[in-house]
Amino acid sequence: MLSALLAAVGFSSAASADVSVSGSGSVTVSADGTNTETILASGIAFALSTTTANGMSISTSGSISNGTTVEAAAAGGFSSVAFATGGSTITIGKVEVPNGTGDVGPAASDMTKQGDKKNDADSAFGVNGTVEAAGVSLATAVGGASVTVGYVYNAAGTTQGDISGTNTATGVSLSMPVGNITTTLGYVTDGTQNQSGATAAVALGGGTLTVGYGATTATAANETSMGAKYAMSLDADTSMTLGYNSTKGEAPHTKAGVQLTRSIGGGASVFLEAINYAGAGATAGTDIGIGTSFAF
Amino acid sequence: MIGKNTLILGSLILLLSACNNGNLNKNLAELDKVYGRCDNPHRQYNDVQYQICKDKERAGNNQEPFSITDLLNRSQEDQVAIYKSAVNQNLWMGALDILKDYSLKIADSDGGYIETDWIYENQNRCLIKIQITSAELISTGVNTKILCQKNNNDLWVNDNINYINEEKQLTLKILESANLNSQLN
Repeated sequence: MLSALLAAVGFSSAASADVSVSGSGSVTVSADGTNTETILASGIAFALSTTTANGMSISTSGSISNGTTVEAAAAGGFSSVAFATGGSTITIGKVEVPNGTGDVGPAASDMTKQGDKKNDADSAFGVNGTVEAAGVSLATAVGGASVTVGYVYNAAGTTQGDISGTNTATGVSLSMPVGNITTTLGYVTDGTQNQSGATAAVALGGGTLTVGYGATTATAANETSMGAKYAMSLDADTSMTLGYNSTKGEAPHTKAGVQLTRSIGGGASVFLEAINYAGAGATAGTDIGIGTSFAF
Repeated sequence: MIGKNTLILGSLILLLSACNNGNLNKNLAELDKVYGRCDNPHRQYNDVQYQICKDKERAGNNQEPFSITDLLNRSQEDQVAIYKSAVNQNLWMGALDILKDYSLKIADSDGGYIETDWIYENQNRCLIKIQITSAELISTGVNTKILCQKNNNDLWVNDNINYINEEKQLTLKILESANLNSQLN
């Protein structure tokens, strides 16, 4: 009886398992006019998955890295399990609810933003509470729309968490095509802060133009973010992205940046990035990064 | 005890799952073209996975992750050698069965060749040569040759007689035995 019930919802003793690995490494020289640093970031990600006889995929993943920033090396992951069947994926464990929808701007990577200007101006827009912790998320499709719903039931938990925890965050993101424009709407709340936003992306002049607007309401101060980004290919191996963002609120500031990358074959690339900060909430100036990365 | 929020969200998840009538992977692929795979709002990556994704994106590397399982499976397959014989086994066993009453001088299963010792009767002697020429069970897959000699003053000489009918009869016997073997197998 139990085996028949489990078989009906996709669990079966027959399975096709796979262990896959991917990884990358990079070295960047980042300068902000005062200091010049070299930043190395390397990591390996493992994915474990299996497919049941009924076609349901069950997977988890973990990673080892020296730190994607100047932080200490870390081994982590294997903190969530995803069940994918039909057109839906349910993830249980450490999940991140959709947060910061509408925050569009410069595309410089973390390796470049290592100068003194990596400060409040670079903090992520959105709800500042714990939005990545023990919870459950669902990604599904309704026609041509993609919907992701996330719920953190215990902000203090990751691989283990009381589902009746009082610190919770809930977020939802919806993306759908409207004509030739792809729109994304998002909303997130953690009980004390709410953030909502929207982005619209359209193919324009050989590239993609993305604009966004988001607003955060908080007991301390409200904040709005408005930005645009344009990404295009200069040739088969070279791409460029331009971005601008203006954030108003308790620490108003602007960011403008450019990223140029070129593939050099064998999974390697070289890149040049620059991001400029200005405003009351930032240390004015420009961070520049030149680097190379490889991936498999 | 399960809280109200948990029940509400659980119900919402079940309702959304039931309402699913789209192709999530297809939608994700379309969103990848707009936002890039790494920045797709409906894909979840941890910091390391995101970094790897961005490095791949810069390099224009769309390769799927390297599968260790496939590598191990290929290694096991490479260790298995498959040998296919050029000699039909049913014909071979059929020939041996027909010649079981005679002493064999040569029995080469790889080459499909059988030769008996001289078979003596009075002042005559004969030997039988059989060659299996096919890996398939076909009527032309057997060549049979009978050689006979006469004793002429203690000297064995070929009798120069063609034993075509006898060779045909022997071939038919081998084919019958081979067919019987194939049916039993």
